[in-house]
Amino acid sequence: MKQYRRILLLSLCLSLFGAANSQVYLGYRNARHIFAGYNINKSFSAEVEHSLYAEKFGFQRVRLYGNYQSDFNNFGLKVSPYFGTLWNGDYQDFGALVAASYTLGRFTPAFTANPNYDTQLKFKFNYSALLSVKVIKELDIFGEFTTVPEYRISEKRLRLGCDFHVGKLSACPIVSLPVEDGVKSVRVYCDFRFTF
Amino acid sequence: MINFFKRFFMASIAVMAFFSCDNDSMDTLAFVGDSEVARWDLPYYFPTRIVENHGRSGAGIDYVESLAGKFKDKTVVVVIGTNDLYKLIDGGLDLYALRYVEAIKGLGADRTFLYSIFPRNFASDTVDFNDIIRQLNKVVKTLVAEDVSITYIPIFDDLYSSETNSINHQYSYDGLHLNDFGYELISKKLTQLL
Repeated sequence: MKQYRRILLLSLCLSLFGAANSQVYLGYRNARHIFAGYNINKSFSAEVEHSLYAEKFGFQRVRLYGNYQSDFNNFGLKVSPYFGTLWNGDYQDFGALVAASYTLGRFTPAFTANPNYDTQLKFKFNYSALLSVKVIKELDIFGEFTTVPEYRISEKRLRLGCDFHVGKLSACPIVSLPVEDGVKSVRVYCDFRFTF
Repeated sequence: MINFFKRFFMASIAVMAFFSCDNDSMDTLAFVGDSEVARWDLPYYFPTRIVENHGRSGAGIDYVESLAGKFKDKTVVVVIGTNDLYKLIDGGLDLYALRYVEAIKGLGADRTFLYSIFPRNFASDTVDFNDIIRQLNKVVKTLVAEDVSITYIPIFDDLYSSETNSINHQYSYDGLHLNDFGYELISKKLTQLL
């Protein structure tokens, strides 16, 4: 029975990717996740994210995202439902990232809502508020207050960074600072994304 | 486009079905101790686990005693002792070791992972504490050896540099607190045992 399920899963995944023949992108985020996606068209994309944790394979996490993105004049909207699981099945999580932004000249404030259900931690509503400033065509700087988990557990963090984007490459160094009492962990990331 | 979303939805359902009959018995890990715990970025080093940080800077064994009975049916990870070393300069090591082990047992945890005390060479250290730490670790190890609920993690030698008779400076910038490389090492040790 388990074998049939594996075959079903693989077939569905293959058919999913076979359906798309548009832009492909690859990337790396939060120092511990790689991702690959297909832009079906200007609005729709699908993405697979996999962890690079210092754990056995069973404790690695895979997450599937479906993305819808739309711009109406200065207003931007992105909706990304997702489903994730550890390979050993210890827990699953599903939810959505719903991001709305509005561009005012060089400034782009954005708000993200993230309802998330984890089969062990149960339901939690996370959110983030971001302000991005375009410095030059190839460089934005941003500050963000967020409770959206960088890994699994929701934490209150302030993220400061810049987004260099030249051609098909985007690089985004980020400093992530805790804003809760007693927590002293500062994280430094450099996220990448390359679109083929 | 509708077909694409149908396929995506079906793939998600298949993944859920695939994993739904596996068990979901991952324990919560409660970390108790001094600043070494308080500074430990637990969500980063244990990204798939549910972790609680009960670390307190400057804490000694009295802090662990104050948490007696609060971790019933849980898995606890303990790093404690380095802030009490100055009390042992003039002796009393055996008595302290007994109190230390009783405090750990007093937490009431189902399972306990106890790290040996880390080597140190802090700027304000007036004496070489590493000999005391070695002796204390040895006594504690003996005392917990027969308790099946306590897993002792002998990390002293991994962090120690015999060349400098101190904590290896690859793992600590100030001679006391671990840096990212140190935390990577101790996290890996624990992960192997979980």
